[in-house]
Amino acid sequence: MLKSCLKMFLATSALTLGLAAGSAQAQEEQKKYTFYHLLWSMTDSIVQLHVKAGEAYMKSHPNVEIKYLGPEAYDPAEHARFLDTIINAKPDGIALHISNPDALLPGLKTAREAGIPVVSVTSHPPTEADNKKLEGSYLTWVGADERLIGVRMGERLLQEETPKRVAYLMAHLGHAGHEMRAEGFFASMPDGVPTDKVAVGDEPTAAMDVIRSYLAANPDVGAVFGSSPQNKWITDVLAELGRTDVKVLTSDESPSSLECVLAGLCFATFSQEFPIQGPLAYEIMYQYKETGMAPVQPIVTGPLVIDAANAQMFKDLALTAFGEDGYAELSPF
Amino acid sequence: MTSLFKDRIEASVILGAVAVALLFTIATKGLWLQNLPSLLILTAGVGIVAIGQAVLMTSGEVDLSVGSVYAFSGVGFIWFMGQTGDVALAAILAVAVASLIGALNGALTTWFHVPSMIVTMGGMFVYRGCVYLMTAGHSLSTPRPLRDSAVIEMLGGRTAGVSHSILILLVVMVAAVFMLARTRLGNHIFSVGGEPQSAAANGISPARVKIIAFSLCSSLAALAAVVAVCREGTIYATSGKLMELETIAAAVIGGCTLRGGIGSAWGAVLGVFVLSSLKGGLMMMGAPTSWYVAFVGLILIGFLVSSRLVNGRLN
Repeated sequence: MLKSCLKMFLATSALTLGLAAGSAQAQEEQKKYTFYHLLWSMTDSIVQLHVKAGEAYMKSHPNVEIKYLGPEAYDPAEHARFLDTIINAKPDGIALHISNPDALLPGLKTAREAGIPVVSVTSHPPTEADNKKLEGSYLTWVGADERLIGVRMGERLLQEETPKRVAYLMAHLGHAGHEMRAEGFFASMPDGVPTDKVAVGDEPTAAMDVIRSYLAANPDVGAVFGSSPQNKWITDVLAELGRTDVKVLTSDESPSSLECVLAGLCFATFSQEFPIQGPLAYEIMYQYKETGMAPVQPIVTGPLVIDAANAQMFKDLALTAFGEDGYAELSPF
Repeated sequence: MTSLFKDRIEASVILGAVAVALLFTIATKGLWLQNLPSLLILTAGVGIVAIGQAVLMTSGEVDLSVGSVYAFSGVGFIWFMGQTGDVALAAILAVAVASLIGALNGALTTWFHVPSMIVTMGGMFVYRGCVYLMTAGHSLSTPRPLRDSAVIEMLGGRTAGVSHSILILLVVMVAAVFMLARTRLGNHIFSVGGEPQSAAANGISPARVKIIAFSLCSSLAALAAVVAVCREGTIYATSGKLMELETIAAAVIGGCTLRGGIGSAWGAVLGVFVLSSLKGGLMMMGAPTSWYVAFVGLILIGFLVSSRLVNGRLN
């Protein structure tokens, strides 16, 4: 009796182990490729558009797994460390935002040597010198021309009025995308309009203090160009100072920026088609792995200015990605 | 009278605050004065936390987790509001959770003899990590149905143009000054910070006193967060970043030492005022934004060196 029980136990155990091993193998086979998307900052709500688009991509490509990683707040050195960690995980492809070519170059070189395909997503350094350094380090680039974003936003502002002074509020000096956006914005201003780049940091109280002090010291400021996480801080300070004359330009089609525009607190924001950037990058990596093929030209996805006239349309699109509750949670307005 | 002033550990911060106010008022042609109401609100937010830090430093310990506990408590307050639908209860729960966090910091420090800097540094990462998990890295706002609550108005509103956060700071400051100067607990905090062996020999439990000080420090960080959420309606994943360093700097400017045994609650509040004034004032004077952080650091070092030269008790 004992012997037969033991036999049955051993047989059941062997079967269970075999099934588990088979299931793990099947799962392994099912997830043929693991791609990593290295994000620049997990505290920027707009990255959720990449994440949501990735979820949809994984549904349509069951053999692809996409993992999202990134520092909680942007920092070039931290960004580079995350890239090193991802390379050590031996992924089948990496999508990333090349925010600082010098910081990321060693990692990109290692990825190339390891045969890991890389796609540059969102902003990409536009200068010839930077691109020369990055030559051969990535398959292609999918994103908006950051300098052009600044120019287009400046042009939209000038259609409304010519400000006496403008400022670009930066959470972190040295971020390639923001530096380019600021450069384009300043270049679009007529001669004689003073321009300031203001480093505000990412801690709300400290940032609001800087914004408040800057505006108090410069009462002639007619427009400030910030970014999505700063919307509430800027508009709260303007309300506190009673500055209804300052136009606020912000970034991307995040719930915060769209609600800011819809509430009339922000003058304009822009879209660089975040929802399609990620899937295009994943598809490029997928096709490269399958066929060895890569696009010969970068894929430029914007910008398009969003103002009171078309914000509702973008809100409807964002609602399909985030859902009612998710959208409301991401907007402080 | 002069010697009475000179012997006070707050002497240098009083002089510093007056000097900063005069300098910026003159240099900005009065513009700085217009910014004073906002500056006081800023001082209130950080000042409440700095009082807790000053009390803890007086007991000979330091808390590097206050910034993270601040954000964690803010997030917890909003979460409790959503769960209970009761703002007052949510505020009490948020402060209670923070006081337990403080007690845990104190217990780990005193029972296991791990330096408080290490224990609270660990806490700083743990609670910030929890904040990132709970917010997914973004912001959380007060639930819409509760935004007009009387408690939110009481903690975050204004009366005759004065923000209630400033009044709360004053109440907390008076209570802390009274506690340190007039109560047995205050006496024990000074004793444990200055002469822990003598304190123990006199029947005072350093572990008990320090656990209370840690608990108080974290509770005040939570109170500051609750007031901030009531005032602004939102807490961010990045809220409270570097607050630990700011409050330690303010406490030291205000007369505390890192060794313990010396400290002042209202000195720490003045320290926050000086620090906050420096940042805004330098910007108003036109200091380039990428330089002013370094200016603040240089002025801070100069200020601390000169205060040590003036006041022998701080050496």
